[in-house]
Amino acid sequence: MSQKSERLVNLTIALLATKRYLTKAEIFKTVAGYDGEPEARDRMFERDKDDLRSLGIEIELGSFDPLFEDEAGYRIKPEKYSLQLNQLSPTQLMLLSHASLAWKKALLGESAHTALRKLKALGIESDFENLAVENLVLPEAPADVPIILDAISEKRLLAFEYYNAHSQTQSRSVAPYRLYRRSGYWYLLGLDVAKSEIRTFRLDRFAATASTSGPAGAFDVNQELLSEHLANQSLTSRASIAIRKGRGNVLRALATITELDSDWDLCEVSYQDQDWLVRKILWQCEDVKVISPPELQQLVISKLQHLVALHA
Amino acid sequence: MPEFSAPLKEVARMLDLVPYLSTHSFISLKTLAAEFDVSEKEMAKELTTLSMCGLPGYTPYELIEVFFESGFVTINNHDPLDLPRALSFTEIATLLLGLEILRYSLEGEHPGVSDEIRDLIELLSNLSEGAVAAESDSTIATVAEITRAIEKRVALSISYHSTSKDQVSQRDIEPLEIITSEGHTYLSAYCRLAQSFRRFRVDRISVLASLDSLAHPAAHPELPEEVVIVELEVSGNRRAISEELGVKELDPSGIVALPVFSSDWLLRNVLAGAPDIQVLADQPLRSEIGLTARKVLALYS
Repeated sequence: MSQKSERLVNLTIALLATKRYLTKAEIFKTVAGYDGEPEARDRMFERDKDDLRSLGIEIELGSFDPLFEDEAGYRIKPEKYSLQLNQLSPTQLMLLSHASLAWKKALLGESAHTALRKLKALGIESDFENLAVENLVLPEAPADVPIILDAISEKRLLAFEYYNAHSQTQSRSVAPYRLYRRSGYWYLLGLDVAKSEIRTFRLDRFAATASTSGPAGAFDVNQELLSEHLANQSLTSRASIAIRKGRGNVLRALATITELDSDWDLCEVSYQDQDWLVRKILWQCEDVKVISPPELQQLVISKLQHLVALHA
Repeated sequence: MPEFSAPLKEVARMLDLVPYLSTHSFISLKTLAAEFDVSEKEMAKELTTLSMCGLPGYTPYELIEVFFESGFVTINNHDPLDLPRALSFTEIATLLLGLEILRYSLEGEHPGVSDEIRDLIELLSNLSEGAVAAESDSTIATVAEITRAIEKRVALSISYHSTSKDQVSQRDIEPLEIITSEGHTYLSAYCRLAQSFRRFRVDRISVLASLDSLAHPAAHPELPEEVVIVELEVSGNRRAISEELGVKELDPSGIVALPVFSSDWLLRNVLAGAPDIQVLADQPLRSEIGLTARKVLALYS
């Protein structure tokens, strides 16, 4: 039905070109395609607004003079409509082209293609041939990635089955805030609706593919909780541990090292996750000993005593 | 990607067509259709629709002008739609993640561009308000380096960190194949040091140098290894432990019959997961675990 697409393009052009807000009456009078009964036209216009919004085109509602109760009007701000990157150098365009080609045929291939097309429309010469890039290696991206990206962008709730620490699956409903990859794993950070707390979820612990639920615009990012969470995450503690010379390479890589005596080195380690550090320490058996803090030492000792009892 | 209805896809395409044509005058209909992933017929139809769009008034002065000339397309009078549309969130995220892959793949090969890539990543991160990020994944760089070596058929000198022995060794290998299994990436290679075929965890490899070309295409026999089945009971943080042990589905009882290649590897895992893993039947292994734990405890007495 090209009538509809024609009307939407005309509406976009009219709202982009206007320097002031156009009232609904003005739109119906001037923009081609709004025919029929007033009620039908109204419904048509509401649907068109939603459609354009779903394409990422923001229609702003405002009035000419805030002091008078004018009828509200509509416009699209060119700076919101148009490409955010218009000052690209040929090299930058070349790099972005290569970046988008990384997804060729893969999960995000279609978005990569449309993104590249928008960039090409800038008409910047790209020195694409200047950089030979062979064999970009795609990390494995779970099928959830595009679903999560959509959910973040449209602010829709996500529902998924998740393996908890006891390896049982639980249903989660999450307002998705962020998606990131760290050390080879994909993570989702968001507000767990039932717990009202910010949580991170590892995508490989999803028991089934996530799905969006409910309408778009279902939440606002809770900035207060988010910054609190991020601040807590970056809190680090320090531990002093002794490592036998020539051993404990994983821990050494994270530590500042001084010599303790002829057998041992003293290592200062910063850490965020105590469980993780304890695992690394115990993995080394007799080659690593906790010196401080005392709580950490006590924790290691009690775990070992427990283990001895289990294997007596 | 949200699936748009046909008219909406048309609208998106037409809005993207105008700026594209304004910088690509006299482009052939064929090239244009390919760039926009539609048939030439569909493209011609959309261009015709576009030529009926324009500013209110819709006199010839206000309409977008589209010219077809022997298979080539030009556009005029395209003012308000001149600029390419803003990148969507998903498009920004896609470029951002792609740049991150590019950065690690190029590491060491084209040192000059890494600053440029970092700047672009920062730019796009700001656009996405920090909602997408990829960071520190040295595995990508290593895999890229090894893949190049496999293609060029050269041997590599690597340093390998074996966690079960806690030793870093330097060895020359002939890389064969990259394999992904259980969430980890492995390199299958012929190891000149061990004089046999081995599998290496890529995240524990550092490539030191490329060596000579390979004379003979290596055959690919899997190494025969001795597997012992050990019965364990897992409690506490079962998820973390099953991930470490590579157990896919854990029985609700927590009891696992685990195939074990190296008893040293299992011993270290039992200590690291203490006290949530109990070895059940294997008496010698049980005593060894008890003994090792007591030796570690002795460090503190």
